[in-house]
Amino acid sequence: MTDKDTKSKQTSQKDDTDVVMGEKEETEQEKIARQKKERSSIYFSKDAQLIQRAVHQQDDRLMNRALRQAFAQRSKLTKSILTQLSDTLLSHESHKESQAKLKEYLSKSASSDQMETDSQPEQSTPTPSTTTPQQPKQVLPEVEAFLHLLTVLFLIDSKQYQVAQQAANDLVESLQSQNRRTLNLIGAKALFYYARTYELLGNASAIRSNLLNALRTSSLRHDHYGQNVLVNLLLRNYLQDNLVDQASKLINKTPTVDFRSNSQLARFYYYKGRIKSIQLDYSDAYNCLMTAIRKAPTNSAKGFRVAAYKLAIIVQLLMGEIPEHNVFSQPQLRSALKPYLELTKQVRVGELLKFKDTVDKYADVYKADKTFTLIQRIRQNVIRTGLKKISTSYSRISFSDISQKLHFDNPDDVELIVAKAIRDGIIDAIIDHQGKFIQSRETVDVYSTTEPSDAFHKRINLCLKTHDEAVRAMRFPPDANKQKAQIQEAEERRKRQEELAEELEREDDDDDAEEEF
Amino acid sequence: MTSNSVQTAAGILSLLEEQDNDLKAAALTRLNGPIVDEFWAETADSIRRIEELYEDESFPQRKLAALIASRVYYHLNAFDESLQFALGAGDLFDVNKKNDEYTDKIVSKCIDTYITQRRAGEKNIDNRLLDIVERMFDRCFADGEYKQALGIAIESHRLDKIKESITKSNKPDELLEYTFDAAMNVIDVREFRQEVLRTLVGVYQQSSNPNHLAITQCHTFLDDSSKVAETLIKLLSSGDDDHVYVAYQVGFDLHDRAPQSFLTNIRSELSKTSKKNADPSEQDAAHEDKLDKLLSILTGQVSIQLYVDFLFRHNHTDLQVLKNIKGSFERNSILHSATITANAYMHAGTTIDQFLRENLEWLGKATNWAKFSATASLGVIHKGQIKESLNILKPYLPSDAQPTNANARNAPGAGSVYSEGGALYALGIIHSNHGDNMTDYLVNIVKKDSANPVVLHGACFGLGLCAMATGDRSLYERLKEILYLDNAVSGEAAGVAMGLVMMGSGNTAALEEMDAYAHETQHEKIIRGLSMGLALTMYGREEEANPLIDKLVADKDPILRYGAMYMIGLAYCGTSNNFAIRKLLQIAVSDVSDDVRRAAVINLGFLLFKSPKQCPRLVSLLAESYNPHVRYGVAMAIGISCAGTALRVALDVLDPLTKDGVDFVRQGALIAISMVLMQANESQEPKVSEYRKHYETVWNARGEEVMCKVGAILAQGVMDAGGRNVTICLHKSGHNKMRNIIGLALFTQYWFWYPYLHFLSMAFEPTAIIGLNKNLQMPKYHFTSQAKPSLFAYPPPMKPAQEKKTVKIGPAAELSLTAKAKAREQKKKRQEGGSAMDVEPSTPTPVEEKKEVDKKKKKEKEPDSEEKENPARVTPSQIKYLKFDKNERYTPIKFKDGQVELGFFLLKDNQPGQPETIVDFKNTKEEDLPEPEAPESFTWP
Repeated sequence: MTDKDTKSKQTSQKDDTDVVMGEKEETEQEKIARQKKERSSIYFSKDAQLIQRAVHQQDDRLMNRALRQAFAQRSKLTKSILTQLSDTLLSHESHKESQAKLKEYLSKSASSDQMETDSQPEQSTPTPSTTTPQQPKQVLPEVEAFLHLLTVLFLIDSKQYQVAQQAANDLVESLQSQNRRTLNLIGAKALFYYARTYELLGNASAIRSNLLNALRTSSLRHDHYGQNVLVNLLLRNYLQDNLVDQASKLINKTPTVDFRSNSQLARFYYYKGRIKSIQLDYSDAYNCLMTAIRKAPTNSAKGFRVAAYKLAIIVQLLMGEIPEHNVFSQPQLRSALKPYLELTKQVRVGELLKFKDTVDKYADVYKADKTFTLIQRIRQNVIRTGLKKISTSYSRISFSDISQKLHFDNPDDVELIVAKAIRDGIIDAIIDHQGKFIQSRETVDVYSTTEPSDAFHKRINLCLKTHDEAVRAMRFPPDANKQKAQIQEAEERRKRQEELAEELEREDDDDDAEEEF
Repeated sequence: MTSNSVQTAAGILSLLEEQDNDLKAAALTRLNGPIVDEFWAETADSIRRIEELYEDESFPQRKLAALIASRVYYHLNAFDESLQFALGAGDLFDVNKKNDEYTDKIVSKCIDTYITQRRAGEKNIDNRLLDIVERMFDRCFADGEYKQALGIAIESHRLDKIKESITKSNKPDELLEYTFDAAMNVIDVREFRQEVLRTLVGVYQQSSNPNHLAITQCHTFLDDSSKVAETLIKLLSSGDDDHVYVAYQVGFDLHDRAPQSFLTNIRSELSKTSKKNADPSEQDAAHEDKLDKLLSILTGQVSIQLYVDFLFRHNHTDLQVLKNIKGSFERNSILHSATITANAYMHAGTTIDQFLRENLEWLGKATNWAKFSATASLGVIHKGQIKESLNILKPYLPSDAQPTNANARNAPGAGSVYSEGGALYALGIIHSNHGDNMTDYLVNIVKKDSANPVVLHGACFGLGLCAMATGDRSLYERLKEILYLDNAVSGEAAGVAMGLVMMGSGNTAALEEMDAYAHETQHEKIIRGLSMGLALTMYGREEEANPLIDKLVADKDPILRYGAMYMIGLAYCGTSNNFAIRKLLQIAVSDVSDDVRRAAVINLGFLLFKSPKQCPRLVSLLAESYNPHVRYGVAMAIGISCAGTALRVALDVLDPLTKDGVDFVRQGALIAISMVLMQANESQEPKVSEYRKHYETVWNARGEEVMCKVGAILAQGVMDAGGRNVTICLHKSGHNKMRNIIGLALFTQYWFWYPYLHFLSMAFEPTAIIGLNKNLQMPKYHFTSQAKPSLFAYPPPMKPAQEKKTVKIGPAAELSLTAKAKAREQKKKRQEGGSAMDVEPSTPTPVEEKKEVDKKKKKEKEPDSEEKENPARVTPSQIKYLKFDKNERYTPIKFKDGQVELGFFLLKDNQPGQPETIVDFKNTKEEDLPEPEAPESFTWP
């Protein structure tokens, strides 16, 4: 997530510099910039229209689409666009208050926006898109909230965190006072950015109880979107303060949440995986992380995937397995996963010294990734891998040799470590206490055991599960073919009514004119 | 904020494990408040311990433990447990806390639990639960939320609280009305409903200005005729003119709603009082006069006469349509019969038999049962012509001189048994629900031992219709005798007629006899007649019908199961009762017999007609059933429940059915659409003209199945029924109209027997608003409809036949005017003051004038409102636009708060003594027209 944010921030900055240059050069450039701005302003107002339609048809998918489109364009947001949008959309009297609020935030965010200087006079001369003198219409609260949300986004992107926090506070407050089903999606997004502003300002723990309250409210209102987001936000919040126990209890006690969006589900699994890994439940943790990776989008959200992969690799190592090499060779992730590749190599070889070196070398990276504590647990595994190697190469070897090979400080420990390894089934050998050596047993052909079929079973299970999930995830609207026709008809009727209204108006005008005459 | 300092509640929770009570209490106290809300997930692990503390009698703070447990369970979404512990917390649980989600949720859960327990009839309800509910009531009263309190009281069946919330409130009238409405439409337990009504009567009578309309309504539902009569007498003798008006109005309402037996009782009570005063003083004479008027209202004389006048006056039948239909086929008895029926629908109650007159020869082609049906259609056309009925039907009725035995029938010139039977049936239709004097006539015919089964068939129908819902025991016995003749033809009709006579009575003896004979006889027809009879007898009895329904549903004879479906539909009609709906849906998909499944789906329509929007949604899945009978049922169910509403959702489901692969499904869909679109015009629902065109193509198409053609022809008839002035109306502002519902139910039997088609005329309700003065005459009076005239105008008449399809050129040939021009002309006529609205479509208009009119029309803007003249045609959807001027000479007495109903209302004269202009009756017998040639010219082979 963080990556995405920073990336968009970069682009927005780039945009701004472009415009600054244009300003310096010539009016032609300026015109192009203005046109660009108009275009994106139209773009956002189209989204607002889409939201209105979504509300009328009570269709979550339309709402989702509107939000997705708007968010994809967030880099294009500028102050003047927002002012213009709030001028056109919130011109009705009933929105005066919220309009004033939005303007207040924007004015507080002063200096950062270079556009400002030339955008102010522009407001006075009506731009082509606003020339049509329209009666101010009352818009839905959804649209109002949408604009508010865009403002918050813009403020975050332009690093005005204090103002953004204030705006987000107001937004969440106003949203929670309204109980509208159609607000759920916007509300969920708003909550996300609300928590984000607090996190950016470093006082995330302050809103924990607010989030808990919001979770309660949303579950009472059967607001699934809100519940999804809030559960994730809370988990994130707990984990930031290393309150793993609280987080795991929350997961256990929250009534099963029906996840509506894959991205939230992926996040949820990621957090769950993290909690489980800390609680030593590696195989569960690994399953959760793999699901999270599978559910995450394949092309975007690089940051999320990197984080998930890192953790997955560590967990896999902790389970005594070696991740496959192609995990590290994914082009997008290669550089980010390099420290982990090194680590894996050492674990694979079972060289305790080199392992130590690697850990020391990349300690800062691991600490930043919050995987350092887990990595320290891997040491055991490195020893075991070393043992395994030794036991396959030597049919009989003394403890002192082992100690030497694995660079143990205290050769007396070797006997205990070996005994544990035998008990765990890592190596198949017998300890000769008198002779102080271990005797390996004949290696059996793996293919004569049940191991291959177990492995197959595991893979087949995974495939079947994936298939099931895919089938379940596919949703067919009850009567898609009919609905299409109905929508068409509704559209036609709407058009007809509009025409009629227009005609009437014209007639009215004519009449008035006649009367005056 | 505590959360900043405290990261976990583990410390507090560990205190709970201590031995010392004080420590535990301290832990609980600390937990209570924000901590438990923030660390509920942690606390949930210790919930066992907290529960133990609550259960420990010796622990001093057990209530606090309960409160915390309740909150934890609340966070865990386990609201049942949460409620239990909240109850355990006693007074620590504060009901009056506002804007607190926890309190709101628990209180609402509490009320829900209370309601379900009360409804399940549980005797020992938790006192603590009761306490909270009582506290909620008190809070509602304190906050002035009387409606809320009333709602809870009604839901939880608390009569005392209902009464309390009405009397305590500042607007008792409004709440009374609300309760009455809820009682009729929301309460689904008949017994409780009656109790509520009884309570309401009590409250009404306490008020200083009792609402007599409402009181009599309550009494009507309680089936207490003597109380109603008492009220009426009190109103009449009070000497206040206003009260007399109210009495008349009550009379009209009663006649509209109450079953015949109830009316007879009231009449006899009323006439008793008149005889007491043998000494005719002047005052008494005036009183007598009023009493007579009231009696005439109750017998239906007034309303029937006015309705006949209205339908005749406003008749807008498009004869061209019939002509086109007639010309579309050559020799096909089924289509022939359907056309005659369609004609009957179109002219139902208008007394206009022009089409039949003009085509006597063609009419004569009807033979056998077709002749029966054709003759009966006269009854539909002349429905309500009580005085003239025998004259009109004389040529066809069995004469006393010629006994209807086999020899006489063969004699030339004598009536055939089929026309005789049809005429008796027609007689029944004309006198339906008002058959006082006609019953004897019919009984006499039935008495003749030698009577032919066909004649008996007609006579039984006639008797059933005349004596509908009288519960007349002797008549029932007479019909039973006919039934025991065990003739399939007469037996079927007798079975239905027995049901009609006993309608809605739930008479146990009758039910047992009918049930027994249904199992005894071999004739399917008789079984079917009896099973319908059983269903009719159980009309509106709701739960009372359950044992019999269960018995019949389990019967191995599909015909009886078929009857059981109708019994569910009729016993629960209009209630949307969940139990009934579930039962029907279950049978609709599981029964082995197609007939039963079809009936099950059709009856969903009867259950849901009060909430028409629900029905299409409910049955839309069934519309995709593989079973065509179910699909047909879907069409009919929607037709019934959405009749006259022009609902788009209904059309959306019906539309694909008109293109169905099975002919009878298409037939059903066509008829259902016409029922839905009754009186709708193009500006209301643009699809109307499309469907009209569709009907035309169906009956014209060569390759089309006969079934569909029949459907299209009938649909055309239904769409334009009663001269385009009637609609199918099964309830009036929530009050079921028994006659109409039964008519529709029997109409759906046409599947087996075409003569049942005529029963549809029972369901037609003139869409008229008629104002009357105290002499029960129509004064000149007008009110405004604040909507564009075109929105509710008559649909444009059909253009005369295209291409070669031209039939005879009749007077209707001049129908080429555009609708607008026509409407304009009508308006002009009205403005001229002439109530003379021509019966004929229009007089020929020169072409130039037409053009001119058209040109003008283009410029002229349509007005936003129109004046409606008494008696006015007002379609149900138009009602909300009506406005009654206060400055007028007359004030309508019923519509105090803008609540308008179709039908009659009384006008209070604000300037008594001034001469009144009375609207004359349009003479239904046109003197200037030559007396009809005796229809003996019927030719039959």
